[in-house]
Amino acid sequence: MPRWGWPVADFETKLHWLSERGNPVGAEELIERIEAEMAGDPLVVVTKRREGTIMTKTQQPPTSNQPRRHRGPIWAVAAFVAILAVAGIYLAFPGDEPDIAGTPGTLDDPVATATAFLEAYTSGDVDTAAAFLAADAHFEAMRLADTASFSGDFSDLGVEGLSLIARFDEAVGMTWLPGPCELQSSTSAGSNVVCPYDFHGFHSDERGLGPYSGSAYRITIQDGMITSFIDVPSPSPEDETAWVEESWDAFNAWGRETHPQDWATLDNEEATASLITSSPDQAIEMYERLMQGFVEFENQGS
Amino acid sequence: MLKQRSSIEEWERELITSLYPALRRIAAVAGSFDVEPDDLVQEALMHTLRKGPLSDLDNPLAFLRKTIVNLASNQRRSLSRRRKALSRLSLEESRWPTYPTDIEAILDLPPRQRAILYLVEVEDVPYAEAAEQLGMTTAAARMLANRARKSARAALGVARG
Repeated sequence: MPRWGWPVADFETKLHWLSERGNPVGAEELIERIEAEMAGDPLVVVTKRREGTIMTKTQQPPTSNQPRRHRGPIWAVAAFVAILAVAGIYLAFPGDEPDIAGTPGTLDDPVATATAFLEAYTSGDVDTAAAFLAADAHFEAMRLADTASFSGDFSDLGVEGLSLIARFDEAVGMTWLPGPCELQSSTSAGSNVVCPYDFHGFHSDERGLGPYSGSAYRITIQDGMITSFIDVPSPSPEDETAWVEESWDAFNAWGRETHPQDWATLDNEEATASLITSSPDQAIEMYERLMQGFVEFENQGS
Repeated sequence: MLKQRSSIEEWERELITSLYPALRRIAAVAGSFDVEPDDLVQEALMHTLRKGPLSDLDNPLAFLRKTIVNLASNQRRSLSRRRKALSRLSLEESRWPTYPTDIEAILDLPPRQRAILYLVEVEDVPYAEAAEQLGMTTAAARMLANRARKSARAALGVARG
């Protein structure tokens, strides 16, 4: 029986077939290839690659083994508005050195590196923030849409993807208030730093609400550069309830009544996903316009 | 810190041999169709061994699977960039490898979504364990899997029933 309303068995078959694809060389030969590569014989590395393979050598460090904080249901609640997403962003940054006190790659203290990075990131200084990230750094932010067709993957956009998130944050009135960072652990993969933060959302500061507490950035730093950055807002249960009721629920209730035409799109996740992916500028303009109207409405009675 | 090594210890050989089938399967699922799974496994092992002995790892299988999926994600981006660049130069599409159309829906999914679906659907790995192997929370794993199912269902044109 389909467990999710579609033929899982068929999907399982395809996945199983996929897992068996290719021409296995076997563990023994693989070890030989690794030892040859260790010995500096680059020819062995490519001997088993199929014709047409365009694999590139990468130095992507694995993310930390450190378990991440559980996300609450808040962002799932907001999914239909289509501005939440998991954005798996693997950015290739040029490494320009910003003109600030904490220059990327020069700070020995991982906490100082994380603090300097967040100062730029949370203020929307995308170029400076990008310079702190190692080449092929893992950058995961939870924002925007959680829909069938919009995965939130801005991988191909590089710095532009980071900029897009900052623009969406500004459009929907998100303000990030980072607290002091702390070194949590150090492994061969780098130093793991945790930076708690509060945030305002949907201009909650202008509406006399918030901030919402309990979230934390997870940052891994190696050789002075950030190799992994996880940005998943996850307030405490109490603040999460407040955030949902005071912002998402209030925004939707207001919008459905006053802007039914816009909500015809916002209540349709596919239409919203299509708008965000195909016309981000138009989507940002829409959210900015709606959010301004929402804030004015909220403040009318005060 | 990187360590220069020129050989693999005997116990590491045994460990790699025992892990190889599982590593290769996740590489085959998460990797781009035009990349040999063994290349991904080799890359992940080289990357890990350069950093130190496998004994440094609490869970070598989880660490290596996570590394493989990260590498697959990076390669996917690189391949996409290269294809876009060549597309702008009007190079023929036929230069690129093709694959059976009936698995396009799966291959269009991001590597991590493919990996999480494979682990929970085919290997029957519990969400918590699959999440650990891919370096994410259980909640994130469930969300990614649900998103993958929705995307694949839409791509396959299968109606809910």
